[in-house]
Amino acid sequence: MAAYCFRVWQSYDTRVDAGPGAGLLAARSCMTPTFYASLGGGSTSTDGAAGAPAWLELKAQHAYSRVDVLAVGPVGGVDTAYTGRVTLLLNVRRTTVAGTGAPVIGVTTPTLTLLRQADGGWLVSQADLTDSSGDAPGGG
Amino acid sequence: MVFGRGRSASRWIVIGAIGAGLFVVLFFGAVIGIVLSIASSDGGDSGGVPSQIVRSDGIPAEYVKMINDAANAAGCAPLTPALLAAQLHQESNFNPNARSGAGALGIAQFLPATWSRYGNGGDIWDPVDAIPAAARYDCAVAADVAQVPGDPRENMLAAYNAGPDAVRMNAGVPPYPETMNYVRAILAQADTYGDTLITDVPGTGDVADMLAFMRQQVGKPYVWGAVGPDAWDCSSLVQAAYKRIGIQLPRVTENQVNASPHVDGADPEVGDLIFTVGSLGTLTSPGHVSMYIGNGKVEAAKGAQWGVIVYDLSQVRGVVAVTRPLAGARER
Repeated sequence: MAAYCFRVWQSYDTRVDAGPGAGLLAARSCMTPTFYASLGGGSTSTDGAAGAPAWLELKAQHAYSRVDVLAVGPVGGVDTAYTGRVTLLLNVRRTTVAGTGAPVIGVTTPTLTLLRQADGGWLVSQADLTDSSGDAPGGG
Repeated sequence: MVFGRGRSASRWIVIGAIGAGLFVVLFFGAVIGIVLSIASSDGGDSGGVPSQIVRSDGIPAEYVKMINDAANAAGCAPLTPALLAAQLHQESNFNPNARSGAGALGIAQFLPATWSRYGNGGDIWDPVDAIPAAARYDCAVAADVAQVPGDPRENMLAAYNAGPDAVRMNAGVPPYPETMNYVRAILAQADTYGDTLITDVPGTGDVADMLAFMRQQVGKPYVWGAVGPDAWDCSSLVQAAYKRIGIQLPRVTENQVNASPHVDGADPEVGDLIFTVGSLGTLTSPGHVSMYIGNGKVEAAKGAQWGVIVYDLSQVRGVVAVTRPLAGARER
């Protein structure tokens, strides 16, 4: 579920998406309402972002960006049986194509926090997309 | 780096207490979940103190003071004079007559619609008006995305480039190549220019304050990517320590190593940063940093199995560089 949610949320295709909020809207069902709202989901200003220069420029280039989640693993020793909460580290590959340029591939390691719901399902409640790669654990 | 304004990372700490019985019967006792929301303001301690550009090479001389004044007057921690200068460099290469195909105008590349809100009735072509307006707009968008997780400087720049909504929707810098490159290029250029506090050149008292802060961190856990105050990784610890005395260091070791004057390290001084390869670094891109704290001791967020510890300098192996951030400040 986490991989699916992240892929839907973070992928975009200016050739078919109505605006930059399309991915967020598509991922709505896998997010807690609070998290969705914190991302500006459903707000009129978010809809208006379709007119933002950066998006228009991407659209002019027929840009699209696909996210593939290569691996998912839990972070820390959270006992989900008791807390109903788990944080997952994702290994993500993003492939972006703009104009006639070659695909640009990047790799990041975001984390998603999921909360168990009353019906037993899990929803994304938090995300940290900070890419801290290059800062290695100390060994020295 | 200054992460003062709007950095409010929420953390949830859950403590579960499990009672255990004897022999084959296990009694699970009460599970107590204590959830604490810790709002980490990250200090913001240099937000109200004016700073100035350290290395102004490449910035037209007539703009240096203007940039310093504008960034300081705007009054938000993510925006420093060096960052504003780097942004103007990226936007127009300091050309007040720049005009983009998208209709952005002037040294700060304002769209007319945005200028009408932030230009204060000034002349979009005149740097005297446009530079302060850029600083005001930076701080306005910084406030707009203050609740978004991540580096407030990155989020501010991304919001300037792609709009605050795009930053909010993506919980950080949007995955747009132009925006990502915009943020990366400006931060790198800002590191080249550098900032320092105008009135707060570190002296003995300041160093003592920094060391006291370091002492207070001993025993806290190491968590890769953590930025305090309850856990650190190696680079965030020294970054936070130096931030207390107004010296901004980049976030990660591979950038920190190039942010301050290098010394040979044979006779280290208090505050020197010692870079080693670490478990994932290389000779040119060290993966670990520790701080010399005097009396033959170093302190570091050493790793997950150690946490923040003090140990002998003699135990440090594989040194690839030693830098002296305090020397850079004293020279100024």
